[in-house]
Amino acid sequence: MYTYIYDDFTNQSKFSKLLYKIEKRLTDLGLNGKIIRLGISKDLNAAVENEIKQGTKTFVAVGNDQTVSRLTTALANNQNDEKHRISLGIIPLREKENKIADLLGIKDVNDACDILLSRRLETFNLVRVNNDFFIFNAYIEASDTMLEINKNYIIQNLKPALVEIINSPIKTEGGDNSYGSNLKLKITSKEGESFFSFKELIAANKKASMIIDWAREVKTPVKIMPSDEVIKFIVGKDRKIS
Amino acid sequence: MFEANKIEKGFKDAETIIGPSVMVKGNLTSNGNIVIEGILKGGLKTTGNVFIGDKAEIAADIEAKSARVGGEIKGNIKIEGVLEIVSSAKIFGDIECASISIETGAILNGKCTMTKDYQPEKDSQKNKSEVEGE
Repeated sequence: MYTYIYDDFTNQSKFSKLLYKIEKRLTDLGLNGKIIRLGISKDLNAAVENEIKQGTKTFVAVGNDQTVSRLTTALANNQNDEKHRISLGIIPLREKENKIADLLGIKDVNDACDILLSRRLETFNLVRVNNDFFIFNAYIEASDTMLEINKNYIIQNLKPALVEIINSPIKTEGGDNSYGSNLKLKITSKEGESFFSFKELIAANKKASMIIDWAREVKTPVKIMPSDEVIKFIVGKDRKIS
Repeated sequence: MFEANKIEKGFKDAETIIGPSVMVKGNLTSNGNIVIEGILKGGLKTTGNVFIGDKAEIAADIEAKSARVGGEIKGNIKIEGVLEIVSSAKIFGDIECASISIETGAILNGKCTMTKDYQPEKDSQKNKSEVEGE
C-alpha cells in the first residue's frame, strides 16, 4: 500500500497539470495510493503514525529535499515497530531543490515513477541531530562556529568557513558504514580545508543555524551522533553513492 | 590551501587535518596520521605520523610514531621513530626520539634524548644528516 506525501508548495496551481500527469502515470503502473497534502495545520508525525497503523508499506515524498527530510525524520522518530518494513520513495518536483533525489539516481518525474515500479531498495543509516535526523549532510556557513568533539577538544574556525558533517550512509551487508563508527567533519575556508572524525559533536553558532540535508534549519547548539535508525530508500540504478 | 608538495606520502591519507584558519583546544588523540597547518593548544597523541606545517602554532605536548616539524612548538615532543625538523621550525621544549634530522636554520631550545630501540625504515631520511640513537 502506497501513501503519497504532497508538500505544501504542490498546492500552487502551476503544479496541478504535472501532478495530474504523475497520478495518471502511477495509476497506469498500478502504484496509486492515498494522497496526503501537507499544510500548516497538518501534523506529519501524526499522519505517518496513522498511515503505518493503516498498513502503509511505502511512503513517497512528492516535493523536494525538505519533503524527504521531514518525512525521514517523522519515520525515524516513529515508535511503531512496523516502520522497519517501510520503504521511502521520492518524486522530485523542483529540479534545483532535489539533491537527495539526485544522489539516489532519481532524475525527474518520469524517472521517479519507473524507479518506484522497479523498487530497488537501499538501506541508509541516519545521523541524529538533537531530535532530528539527516541522511547525507549537515552544514553551518559562518565564522566563529564552536565545535566540541567527543568531549575531548574544541575546534574554532577563525575565518568565515563552511562547516560540514558528512555521513556515508549506506548500510552494507554484514556490517555498516556509519553506525558505530566515526562521522566526518569538514571545514572549508579560503585558507584551506580541515578534516576530523568523531563519534559525538556539539556545534554552536550564535548567528547561524545548521542546515540538514540542504533543506531544513536546525537551531544551534546541536548534538550530532550516529544513530541506529535506518531508512530504506527506493533508489535508481544510476545513484551517485555506493 | 595546503602546500601539497610539502605534505609527504605518509600524510596524504591523514585522518585529521587542522587547516590554516582553524584553532583546536584540548586533547586530540588518534590512531591515524595528523596534519597541522593551524593552531593547536592542549595535547596531541597518535599512533600515526604527524606533519606540522611551516606556519602552524602549537602549544602542546606531542606523542607520535614519527613527525615532520616546520612550525612553532611550545611543548615536549616524544617520537617513537624519526623526527624531522626543517629550517622553519621553532621548538621550545624537550625532545625524545629514536632518529632525528635537523635542517640548518631550525631553532631548538630544549633537551634532546635519543631512544635505543628503533629500527629505521629503509626509505626514510635519505639525503638528510641523521643522528641515530646508540
